[in-house]
Amino acid sequence: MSVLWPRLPEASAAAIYDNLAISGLVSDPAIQHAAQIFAATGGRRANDDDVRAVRNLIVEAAARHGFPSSDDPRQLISFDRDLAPKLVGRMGVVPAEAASKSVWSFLALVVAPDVTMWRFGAQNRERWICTDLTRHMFSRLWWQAYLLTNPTSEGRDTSILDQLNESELNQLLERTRLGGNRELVQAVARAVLGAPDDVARRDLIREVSLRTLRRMAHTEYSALDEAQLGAEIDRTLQQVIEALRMG
Amino acid sequence: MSRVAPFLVPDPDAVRPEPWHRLINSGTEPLPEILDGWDYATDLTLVRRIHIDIDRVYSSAELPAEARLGIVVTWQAAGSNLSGATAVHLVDDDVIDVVAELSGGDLGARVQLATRLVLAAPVEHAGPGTASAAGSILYEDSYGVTLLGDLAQFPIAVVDFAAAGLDQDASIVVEIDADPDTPVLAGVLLLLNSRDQQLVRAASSPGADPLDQLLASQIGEHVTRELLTYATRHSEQLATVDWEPGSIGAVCVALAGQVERVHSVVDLAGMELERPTLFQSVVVGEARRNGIGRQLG
Repeated sequence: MSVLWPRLPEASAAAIYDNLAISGLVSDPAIQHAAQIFAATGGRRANDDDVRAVRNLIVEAAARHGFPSSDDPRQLISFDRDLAPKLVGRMGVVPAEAASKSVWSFLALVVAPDVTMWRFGAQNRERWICTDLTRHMFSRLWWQAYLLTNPTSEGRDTSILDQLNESELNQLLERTRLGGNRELVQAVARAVLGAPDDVARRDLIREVSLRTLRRMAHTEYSALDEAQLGAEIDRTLQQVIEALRMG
Repeated sequence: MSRVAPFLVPDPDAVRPEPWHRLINSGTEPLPEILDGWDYATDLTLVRRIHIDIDRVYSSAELPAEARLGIVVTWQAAGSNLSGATAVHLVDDDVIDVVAELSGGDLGARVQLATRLVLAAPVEHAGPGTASAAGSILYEDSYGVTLLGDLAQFPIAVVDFAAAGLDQDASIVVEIDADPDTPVLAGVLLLLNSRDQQLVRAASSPGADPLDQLLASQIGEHVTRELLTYATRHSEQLATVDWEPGSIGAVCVALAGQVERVHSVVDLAGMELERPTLFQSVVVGEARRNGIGRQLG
């Protein structure tokens, strides 16, 4: 059963964000908002303890990486990697709920505005008000972890996610026909991560993704078993490496 | 299949799928384009029968005898773009019954189903122009299902307008998602000000009180007006796409098409611009002609 999280209506989200964008000041974190609503059915509502627990999760992860005083870009990235699998593990939402943009607006604007401000500052609206799941402060972390990590008996295997930077993740996940397919996007990521390092990984990801997308027009990758899929993606990778080496 | 494959494909009518059905307690029912009453906790078990003229598939696609065929069903959820697939069902008979079990939690307001006939394994001795790679798509069809229902069921939330950053003396706000492809239940939200207790009571349990009935009727008129205004603001986009049933775009286009004196959202936008007073009267009149709002004698 999914946990249903509070959703912040767009008007309320805009009002909160507009205030902080002008003033540069965030409101005190809270675990509720007077305007919050929930999906009507489909699970149990997150209670105050659930929201508080996720708030604590976020703050503790941030504190491990320099919050509130440090803005070292490397620490901001390591915060992302630290928090992402924990959000999947603790929030208890199914993908259908995680696709609700107003849940993520609630998290950034009400529950953890201080951490959001530390991570991204006030000027980038899409980090605060979720309009694109791949761009928002928290939704992007949840979906990165959901798509590129796998559950284990001890938590989640983050070996693929940990090796990719934000730009590489964007290249993989913003192409939604590829990024929305867990098996396929992980196969592409694994292939690229195992490639020789004389070819820029960014170029590899871009070209392998594009070729895979083109092939999806006449090849159903979901019909391939793991070995077939790996072989097919590897074949694409080798073609790309050869083309890039030739310049 | 409308796209051009880089290999021969079978004659299109060599594969004849029957419509999708959904398993329910008492048996099966046809899977509608709009499925009411769905939520995340509702898993879907879908079935369909597919008739395959195997000999004709092989001959028209020039497949060697060694080629193995399979049927796979894929799904993609709107909103998240999450996708998945059934296991490959090997084709070993002219009649195949496929089952697709979809977890409700993976889905979204709308799900697109694709049924594909594919090569289940690589073909070593394929001739020129013949499909050879595993997964090669020989046939496909597509069916979309809106999982959140129609306009009459869109969500209503009672909130403190002042705390929500809205004008505390207003009573009704309609939030409509910027993407017209969003199903109405996921994309339209009616907010009522908790301060207007009479309106909230009228909306939740309208009785015989004439004032309650008047207030409830105003809500419907307000929503219709906002949808038609949304239509005029997005008129060019709305006019150029065939919107999925149950989407905001489809509802807006349908509403605009019913408006007297206009024939399209573009005409409606023109009316709002050139004759704003007429537009005001038309949007209310249109709601009332659809049985929404206070009816005049």
